[in-house]
Amino acid sequence: MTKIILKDKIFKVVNKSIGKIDGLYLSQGKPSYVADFVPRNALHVKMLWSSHPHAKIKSIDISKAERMPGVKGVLYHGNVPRIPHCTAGQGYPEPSPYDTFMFDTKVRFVGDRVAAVAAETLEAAEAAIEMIEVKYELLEPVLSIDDALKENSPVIHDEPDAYVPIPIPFEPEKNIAARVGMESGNFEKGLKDADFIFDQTYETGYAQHTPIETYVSLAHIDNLGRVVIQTSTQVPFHCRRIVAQTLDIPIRKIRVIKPRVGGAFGCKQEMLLEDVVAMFAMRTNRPVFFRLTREETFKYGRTRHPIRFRMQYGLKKNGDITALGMDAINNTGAYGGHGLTVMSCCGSKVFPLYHVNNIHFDAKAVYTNLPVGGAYRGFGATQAFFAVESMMDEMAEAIEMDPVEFRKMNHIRTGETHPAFAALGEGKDGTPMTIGSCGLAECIEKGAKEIGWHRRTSHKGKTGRIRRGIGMCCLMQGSSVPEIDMGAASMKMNEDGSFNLNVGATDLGTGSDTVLAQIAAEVLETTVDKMIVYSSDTDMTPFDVGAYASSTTYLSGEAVRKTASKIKEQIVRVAAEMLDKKINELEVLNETVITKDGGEKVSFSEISQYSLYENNQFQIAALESHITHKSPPPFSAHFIEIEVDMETGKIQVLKYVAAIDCGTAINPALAEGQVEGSVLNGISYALTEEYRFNKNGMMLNPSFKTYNIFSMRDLPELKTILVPSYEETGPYGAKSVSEICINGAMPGIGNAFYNATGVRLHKAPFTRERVWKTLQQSQ
Amino acid sequence: MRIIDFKKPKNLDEVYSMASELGEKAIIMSGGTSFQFLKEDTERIAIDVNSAIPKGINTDKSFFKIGATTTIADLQEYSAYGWVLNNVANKLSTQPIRNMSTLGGNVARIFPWSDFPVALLALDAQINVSDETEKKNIPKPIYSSKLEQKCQSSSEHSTSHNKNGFAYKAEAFFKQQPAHLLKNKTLITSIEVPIVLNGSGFAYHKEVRTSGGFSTLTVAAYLKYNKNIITDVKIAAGAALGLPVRLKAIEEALMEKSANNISFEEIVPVLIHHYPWKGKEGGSNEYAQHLAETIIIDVLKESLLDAEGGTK
Amino acid sequence: MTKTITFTLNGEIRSFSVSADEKLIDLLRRHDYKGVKWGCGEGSCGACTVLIDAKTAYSCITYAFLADGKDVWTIEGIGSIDSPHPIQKALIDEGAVQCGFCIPGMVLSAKALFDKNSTPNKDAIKEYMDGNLCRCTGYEKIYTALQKVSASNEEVSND
Repeated sequence: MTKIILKDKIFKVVNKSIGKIDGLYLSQGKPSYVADFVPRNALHVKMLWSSHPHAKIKSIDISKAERMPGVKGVLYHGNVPRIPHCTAGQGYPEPSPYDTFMFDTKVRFVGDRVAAVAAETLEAAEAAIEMIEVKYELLEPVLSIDDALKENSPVIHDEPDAYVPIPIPFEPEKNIAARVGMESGNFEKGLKDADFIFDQTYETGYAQHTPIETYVSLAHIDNLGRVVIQTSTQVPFHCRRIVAQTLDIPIRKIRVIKPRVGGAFGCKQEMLLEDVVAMFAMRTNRPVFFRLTREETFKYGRTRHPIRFRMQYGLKKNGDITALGMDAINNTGAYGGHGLTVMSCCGSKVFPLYHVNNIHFDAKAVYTNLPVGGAYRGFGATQAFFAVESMMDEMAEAIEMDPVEFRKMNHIRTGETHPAFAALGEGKDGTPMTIGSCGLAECIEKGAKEIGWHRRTSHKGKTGRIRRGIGMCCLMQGSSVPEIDMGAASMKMNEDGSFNLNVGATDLGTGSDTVLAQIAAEVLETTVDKMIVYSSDTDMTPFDVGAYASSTTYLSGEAVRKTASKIKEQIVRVAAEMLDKKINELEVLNETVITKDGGEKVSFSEISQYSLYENNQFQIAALESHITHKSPPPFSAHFIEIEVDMETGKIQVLKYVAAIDCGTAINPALAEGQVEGSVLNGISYALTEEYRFNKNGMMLNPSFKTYNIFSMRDLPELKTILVPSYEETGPYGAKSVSEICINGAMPGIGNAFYNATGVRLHKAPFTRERVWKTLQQSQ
Repeated sequence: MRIIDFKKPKNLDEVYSMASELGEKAIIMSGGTSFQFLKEDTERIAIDVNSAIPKGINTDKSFFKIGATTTIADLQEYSAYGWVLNNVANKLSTQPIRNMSTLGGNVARIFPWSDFPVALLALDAQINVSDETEKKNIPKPIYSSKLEQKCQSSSEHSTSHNKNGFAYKAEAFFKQQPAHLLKNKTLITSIEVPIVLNGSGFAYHKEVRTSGGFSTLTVAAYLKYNKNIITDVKIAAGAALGLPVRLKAIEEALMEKSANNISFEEIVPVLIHHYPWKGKEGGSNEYAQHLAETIIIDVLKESLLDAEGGTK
Repeated sequence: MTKTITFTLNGEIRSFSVSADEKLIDLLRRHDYKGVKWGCGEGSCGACTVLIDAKTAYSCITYAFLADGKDVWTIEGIGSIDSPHPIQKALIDEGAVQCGFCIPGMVLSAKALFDKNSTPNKDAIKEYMDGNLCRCTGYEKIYTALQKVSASNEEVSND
């Protein structure tokens, strides 16, 4: 296939900032989200959460609670199946330990499930919760990764029935939930060959996604006795499967529907509430509604894994990187879902960015009695880029090279490959890959120009309390999980020339319904308003793994493109019959099929009417699936200017430039929206977001008032630059865009800080006190 | 805390009779935005005083008189020569809270983050309260006077005023949790702050991680100078201290000194340790003290600039 | 204890029976005003924003009783599918609507702002909108859209 460059293409619908198809009704506040559909006779669920970090449940007495007015059901370990599973929304069999039970006889963190009540009102449920009597045997808690790894540390997962469904490393007796690594080339030799050796440790902390809509689920039993679950989820099909597994009922008894979701960012790539609402619905035969409070979302909801990285590098005077070593330990919290895959991505989505073949990588996911890590936008790459991109600056300085020049020299190019692609999969072997598109050089050039990189002066000789600095970083991510994840789409045609487009793919507000409609419309030479999109219903839409791993455009989009292509073939075949022409005499143009000489034509609606009513009737329809065979990285270069107050330790972002190559941006406005949202999230992740714990492992700041995210008033100047490239393996040249840009703020701000002050930050978040202390210690 | 009933008295007399009748069950409400922070397990009847206590800002010779039920948003939007509270108001929480919260409500119960109390201390504000009963257990105010209730705004308020009132200077008022004071059926009716004239200046700072976040340190300063000498200075700090207080040791040291930044830079560091600075948000006391030293100097410098007309 | 309160809701006089402890969001949502969203229950995120006497309020911490006699607006009273309000149109055109959960609150806060001051500058926009949190958009396109509304109001007044 000849290489196509975006600028040679003329698109009619794709690469246009078409308005989101649900924008209008969302702006009117029309009922769209799970909580908007709760029937009046629904029961309300409240959960009793553990207030102990580590304890055995010696006894639970629910009898008083059951007798409380309005109570219709109480669940606890004694009256539900005990089926080990993992809550992580991943392909089956999951690369995560099956270490979770619907309700267990042990609690493993402050916020763990103990028992649940369903009652006529929320107040009745809350009152009943108070009446549940639990006796605990307190166990010594493990509250840090170092404590977890000590000899004779208490074992958090000592249950004999936990296991791993695929052969992945799992050593619960050592509190190790997962292990992954790679060795390529000769790391030790690489260090020996170096002129400079580096050895530095970096640490990142907890964070929560804080979608404005918390976790919400609603279940009812339909007339056929099936459980219908409407839920705010990223993974409707995984959710269905895991509910079937944990409730021990057949999959055909369950339907999962995702309505509009009020944000997710990874925290809803999980089955967290659905088993409970489903079980209550089955037992009470009433609709059941469960919504986590904001506090519960912080404590029980999933979080970003805190990770400690020990980085070792070898560097030659000329700038060649001779060795890269990463020893990483993540705190996966009380349960191990996503622990392995996050650590995998620390390597797979990071190492290939630069030329270095001598690699040592060893990563462990470690259990603690603390809130549970899960999927969070960036997925390990975010944490790892803090370490790697900070080190790149340290190395550039050692050889007195401009950080931009150092990266230009070393970054991967189109046509190149890297051993990490083959070595690191998601619990399995990775997928070797050659880079098909890389606009990083242009990203660097454009970003440098926009920030005014030449204005960057050395930190040396800077005095004064208020200092400015400019820093940068380069980034990559991936697009889908190759060979493992599958997405499918189906379409049918209606007699007015419109199409139903049914996709399993999951729009979280990301706009995938719109983007997929654009792809289909482009194939079919029609417009987006002719697409009736329905998504994420396990009965009505074909399978899709869901919204994660930056998959929807690249994977689901290709399924849509294939499906639409099949529809197009059928349309042309019918038109040929109608016009009595050969297929090769016809072409599709602007909702008509026209003879190539332009003489005769039939419209889409005429074709559909003919096919449905007139002759050789059949439904024009198609269903196509897709798996990807590579995970082509989007690339990005971020340039950040900050101001530092040396006395208070306050860092303020003045201007943030994100230049990104996502291949073809199917919808540029939506792509920019992904960049802007992830960038701002990255900034507060770097500066203000943290979990504070007391000595008992209880999270102390579970509220927007005490867990600080930015408001519009904190917004710095943002500039997004879309740099087009063309990824042949993606629909219309597209790659992903949704995760990558969250990775830049932490290293970029850290590098800018060094430029301002001459001091390196190795621990995040860069809160004022931590910054000030670091500045003090450096004197 | 659960509200089981609402009452809306039309005037102060009705407030008192309702409060008498309901006793411990009553809770005074103006904006109601702080109720979510009251974690007590009680049932209360809310007495909404928005009709009984006036809103609005009036000028009276050398001070502004602010009705206790004036909203923070009103303070944010008000503009007049010598009015400084707009810059305090616009930093309180977020706009919907500013729209509902009242000045009286913000000072009637001190929360750790202490927005207005700090500003009012620095301005040596006067808090006017009305009290129905003879007081035996209330601490003696520094300065008290019998006041008549003057109704500032619309005529729907009762004009009868046979209740006696007291005035507290801010320092006396904030020496304890005002809620204790107000338990004895005293009500804040208005607050008076000086008009900050040329030659005098005011500055205020809240140290927050993000806009709308809780303060870890709030500082305010009022400064007056004449012929290059500091003739009056009041500094207050809160959030990083238990209750917000005037930093008297620093004030005394600054009086009569040269009105320039060097005076602040020399004096504040020497005296900062007189106060028990407490780290917030998991921070250390050491950093809290350093932050206090830095910010107090900043605020003093800014108040001097304001006094010099630099920010007017 | 329940009482009957009466207030103007989206331009119509309505009466409701409420209990003393009930919050305005619960009253509104149980009467099917689903555009008033529940995001935190603590008066921080702004998803529950309504207008009371032309000013924004967090309905999740406002007692329903306090609406008595007032003029209340929810998103349901702003614009329509056929005729969106200029603020809604500006947000949609700019690409500022992602998951949409914060948008009703953003629209109402913006409306209160523009009704008070039709040409706010950047700082005034940021100050007035500081009570509506968003995690999807990074605020950028919402901010741009509101600046455009301000600019177009400026043009109109200059005509």
